[in-house]
Amino acid sequence: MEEALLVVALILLAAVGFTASALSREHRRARSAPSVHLTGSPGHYEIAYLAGGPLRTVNTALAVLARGGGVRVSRGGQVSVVTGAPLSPDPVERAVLKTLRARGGSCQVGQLRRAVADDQAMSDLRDGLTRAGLLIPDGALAPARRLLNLLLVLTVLAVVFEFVTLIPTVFRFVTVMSIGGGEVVGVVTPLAGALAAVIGMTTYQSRKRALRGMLTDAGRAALDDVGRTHVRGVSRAADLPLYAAVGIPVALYGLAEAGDPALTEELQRQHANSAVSCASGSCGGSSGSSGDGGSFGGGGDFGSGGWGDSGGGDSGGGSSCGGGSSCGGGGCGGG
Amino acid sequence: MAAERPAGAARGDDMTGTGRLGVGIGWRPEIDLTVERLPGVDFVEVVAENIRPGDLPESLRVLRGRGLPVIPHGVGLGLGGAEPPDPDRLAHLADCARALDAPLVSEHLAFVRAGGMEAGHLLPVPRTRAALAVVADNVRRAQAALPVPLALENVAALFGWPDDEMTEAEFLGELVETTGVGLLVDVANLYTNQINLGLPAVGALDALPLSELAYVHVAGGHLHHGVWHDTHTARVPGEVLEILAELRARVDPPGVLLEWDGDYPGDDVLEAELGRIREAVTRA
Repeated sequence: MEEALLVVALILLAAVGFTASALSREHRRARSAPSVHLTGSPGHYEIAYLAGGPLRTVNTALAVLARGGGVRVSRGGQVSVVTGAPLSPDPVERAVLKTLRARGGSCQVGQLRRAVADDQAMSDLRDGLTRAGLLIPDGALAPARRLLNLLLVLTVLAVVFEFVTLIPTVFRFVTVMSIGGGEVVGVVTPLAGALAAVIGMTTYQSRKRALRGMLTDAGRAALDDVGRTHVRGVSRAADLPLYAAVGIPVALYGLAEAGDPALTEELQRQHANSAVSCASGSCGGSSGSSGDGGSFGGGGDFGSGGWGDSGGGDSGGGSSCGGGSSCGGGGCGGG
Repeated sequence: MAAERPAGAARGDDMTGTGRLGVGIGWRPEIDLTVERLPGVDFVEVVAENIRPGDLPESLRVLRGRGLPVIPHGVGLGLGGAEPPDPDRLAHLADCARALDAPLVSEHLAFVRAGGMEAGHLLPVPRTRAALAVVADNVRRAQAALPVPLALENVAALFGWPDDEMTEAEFLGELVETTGVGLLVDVANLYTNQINLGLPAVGALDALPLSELAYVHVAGGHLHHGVWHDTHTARVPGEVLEILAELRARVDPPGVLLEWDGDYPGDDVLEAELGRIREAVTRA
């Protein structure tokens, strides 16, 4: 019986080890998709997408447009089109302006983010990055995810096995110690089971997190390259063009780098109101560009929180007209 | 010369008892941060019906914290109506004045409802002796309920009543003399009436009791099929600034305020408009 359990334990250990190894290989294969050299450096919206996904990209567009006079942000996170502002040549910025105009010229920042994230411009940006080999294509991680699920099953089996074998082992050990005798208590089986469970659990946790990341190795390298030349928090020359003074810093590090604390506060105020779980300080903050845990995904700007929805409560002090309805379009002005 | 002021109608050191205001802009929630940041804004005006005195917008609290005067500007009191002003609306205006520590409040010489029906517009008052007595009584009631002086604004009209016995300037003049109410002259409204009704703006300035001027409104609009629409959504036309300069030639206005209520342009445009206003009142 003991020999049989030992064989099972060793099989479990081998299966966990093999699966973990295969998972790593498969993930590495998916990340190392061949890259096509971009014509020139990635633009600030490409950097934003690599660093924080659609949400970071929208935030970058908002910061660039607001600092450039294309949109106006008012207290409470209301964003509106500035009349007479020049048309933007950039598809993401055009998507922001188009979304605002489709909503009568203004919109809560949370709704705006979601709408622009679903816009064709964002899909085109993602597709371009994928074609360039900087993002992992859709479906390329499916084999790795299947291996991850297999690893989970094996880990659960190892934990159950360990539970079943450890209790009799401890019981026998206590009996031998109290009664005495020359019997040797076998510990190899529970040790092998424990090793399988531990390897399975740690590998599962780390790979699960890593598989949320959508960057290829080339994408990671491109992002790191830009990060090295645009250091966080440094003061920037006043004569820099907007994309360099605002676009790239926000793309890399989030709204805190917009260079306008009041603007950042209003755009992030909505984050704070609604973001349920903005781990790792990535809600408009850090890009999460260190480690191999993926540049957007778990805890990043691409997570479920941080879109800044108002939750329906937009009857702020100054925005209600008379009985509390929204006051848009100038209908509440004086005579 | 104005009659003896009712209670609550005298404070400060200027001709209307409201102090010098300078150059200001209408505060609207859509441009709150812009207004906070615009250089050269000496005071603001807020539409009283759009705020709750017990829960002032953060932006107004910021501006008040900097010491900027904030004037509640009513649009729904209807002092030009046949019925006395609604006590609740008056109480709201008074609460706004207290909450903002305002130097004065302003409203329109207009009627906005009758028989429970809202007009949805600031309609001109029939300028007859009988109407003057009614409006004067309404104004006195308002003054008695308000903790600060009240100023009344001339309105832009698309028509005049057939039995009018006075011009708007004469009507306002008598109202000011009878009640001691202050005057808010909207030079854009004078321009509107000049275009649409053929009433000379400069002539109105000559007839208005400018000694009781509290402050001035300036705004832009659009000409559409020969009719001027005072939309508050465009740059101030040169003709309106000329009327402002004519007013300045007659009196030093305590304050001049730019109204902009929609299609908001960039901060630089608003700043430039304030500069044009400042230039118009300083060149005279």
